[in-house]
Amino acid sequence: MSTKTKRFGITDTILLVLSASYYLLLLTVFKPCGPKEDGSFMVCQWSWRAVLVLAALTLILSIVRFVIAENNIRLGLSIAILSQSVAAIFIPGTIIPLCMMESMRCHEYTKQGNFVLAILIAAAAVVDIVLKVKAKYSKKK
Amino acid sequence: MRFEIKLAIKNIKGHWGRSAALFALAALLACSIFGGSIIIRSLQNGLRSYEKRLGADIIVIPEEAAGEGTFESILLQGIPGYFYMDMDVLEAIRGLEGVKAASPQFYLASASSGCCDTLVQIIGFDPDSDFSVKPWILENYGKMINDGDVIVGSDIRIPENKSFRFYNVECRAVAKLGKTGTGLDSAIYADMNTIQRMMESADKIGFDYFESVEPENAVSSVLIDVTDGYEVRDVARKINLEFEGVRAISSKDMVSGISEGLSGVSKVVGGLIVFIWGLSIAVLIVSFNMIVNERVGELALLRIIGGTKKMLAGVLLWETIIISVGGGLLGNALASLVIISFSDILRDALKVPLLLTNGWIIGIVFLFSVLVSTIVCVLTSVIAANRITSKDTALILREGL
Amino acid sequence: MNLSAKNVSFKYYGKKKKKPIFELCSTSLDVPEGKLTAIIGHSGSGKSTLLSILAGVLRPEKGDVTVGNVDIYSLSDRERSFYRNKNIGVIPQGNSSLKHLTVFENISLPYEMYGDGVPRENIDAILRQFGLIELSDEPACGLSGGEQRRLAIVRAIVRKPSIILADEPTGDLDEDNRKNVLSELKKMTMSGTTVLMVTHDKEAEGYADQVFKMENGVLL
Repeated sequence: MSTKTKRFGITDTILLVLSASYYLLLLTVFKPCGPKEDGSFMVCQWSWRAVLVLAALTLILSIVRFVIAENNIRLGLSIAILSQSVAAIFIPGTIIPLCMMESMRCHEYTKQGNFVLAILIAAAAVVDIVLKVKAKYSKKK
Repeated sequence: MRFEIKLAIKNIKGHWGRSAALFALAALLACSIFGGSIIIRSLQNGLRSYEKRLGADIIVIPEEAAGEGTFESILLQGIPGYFYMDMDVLEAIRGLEGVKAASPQFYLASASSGCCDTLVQIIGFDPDSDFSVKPWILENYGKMINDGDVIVGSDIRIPENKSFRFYNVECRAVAKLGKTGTGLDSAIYADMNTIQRMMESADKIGFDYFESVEPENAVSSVLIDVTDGYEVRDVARKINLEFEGVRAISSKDMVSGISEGLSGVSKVVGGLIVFIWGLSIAVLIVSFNMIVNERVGELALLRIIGGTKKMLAGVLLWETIIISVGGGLLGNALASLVIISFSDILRDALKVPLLLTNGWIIGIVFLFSVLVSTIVCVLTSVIAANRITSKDTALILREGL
Repeated sequence: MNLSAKNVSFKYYGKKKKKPIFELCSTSLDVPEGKLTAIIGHSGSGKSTLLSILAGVLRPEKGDVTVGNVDIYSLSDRERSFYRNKNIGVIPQGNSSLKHLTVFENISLPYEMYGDGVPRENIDAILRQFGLIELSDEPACGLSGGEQRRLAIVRAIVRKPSIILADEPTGDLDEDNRKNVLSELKKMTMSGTTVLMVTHDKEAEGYADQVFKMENGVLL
């Protein structure tokens, strides 16, 4: 049986705002250093690019959640957003290395900015999942 | 669960807009006191660690390095720099009255190296005469470093093979120093022989750092330990009078200069906290009064079905406690996340040493600020609750619910 | 359980508290057990004030109120509130409910207040009788004026109190529901419940065993 829910709930809005901020801030404030004089990039560039792809996907999924009214699909999208944010937390510095000096931009801005926003998105996704599962369960009752 | 708590939870859920606004205010109250206190404590902590790491009573540097602020940039912001003066100064200083010990240091900015993709400050010291870096190395490494060994600041990650290469000189990283919250965290320390080899190699491959000074006779700074009983400032003044082209700065003056800057920052942070608190408390008082007025009928209803005045006050009190504790915890969690994550950016922006305070102090301040903001919320709500619970239910019944 | 008031008086003062804006003159009243007593009168005549004094929520300046054999104003606030919860059902004027709670949660409040078990079946039966069973899990804010009124009545009578004090119980109700409420109150007197209602409703007088009139704070 399909269950439709309100599309513009508070967690939906929070997730969309956070995802948009995540993507835009990674593109601007949390961007690592640009290319070196010889045109080559430092190692942190690859880590940032990977995180940026995840941020773009998270934003797309958050927008799709606004369009779709079907509760089960929205629940699935929230789980996907949660998984992506958790993965994003571990990309800079753990899965893909950053530059070796911690006073560099990639450590101070990219890694920390990514950490804070990915944590907030993951927390919002968890709240959304709990609320949706709870609503589903209480409807069944 | 007690009726008051159960009803308070239902009331919070039932009026989520109102609850969310109060929740946000409680979060703001708690996080302003928490964030402000942690920043101020971390600045003080940074200053203490800076003073400790300087480790000398007087530092003598070339006059132009003092004038251009190069030395301060190295110490505070970790911007690599170099300046040199003739080694003769060292021997002359050693002969001065009141100088217990004097030890040279060499500053070299690395060229882009495999380790860091950026310039690194390399600081060379003389293990025989040093009294400033040695204690830190012994604390972190347990013994003195050998020729070719380097010890790195806390911001530099040691590669897997522990090897660094500066100006074609191969070095082995043996230990990492503790964090100081200063520019010295991104510096690399090496002994005299190692740094001499680097300087000579740099000279050979065309880096003309030394200008008129011969590399083997170059020194960047002289650290002085003053004999007990002598005034540090007097010794510094004497050096400034007797030697041309150098500047002797007492570390106390360096620290007090930053300390004055910090007191300005602390005043701004303190002012902000007072402003946020004043505004929030005013908004809370108005909000609670409005909410209670709106809820007069609701409370009168509870009274006529058998609720005591104490029970009514209990419901209002529990609502406030749940909202303010929840808001405080969330506000502080967000503030911790931001402050801990971005403390280095703040340090760079303020250009002062900033070393995050201990975890357990953060924990205590976290709980304390939640407690204080909860007490303030409860007090403001009690004023409003008292007004309504002392109002005769009959007056409300007469007016209609 | 009978209800009596002896020489009770009360004054309402304006904001400046100099001159009373309303005065309930020394009033005595006996509401016999198992009877439906009505007090009729215009707005502002003092009916609701008298009802509040009898309900134990407004201490009179003078006089005593006895419910059963208990002088309720000799009790502490806690004792009096507990006594009211167990023995007196009050139907206040207007829409009285906690709007964010469901109909069922509103009805359960008198039970939950002192930790008594909530008898789901009894509540469902009475909700059915008053046509509210379909709305049981709906929040009270969505109810119409008439439904709100019925909710207040159900909440007052659900514990089968010995005394019911009703302030305009038929206000906002349609013809069918008005009759239903009045007959229900009347039926309750048959099982020994004492009912006192204040009303404008002329038809309600027909159901009363005794009728008092009130004018300018004086019970005639």
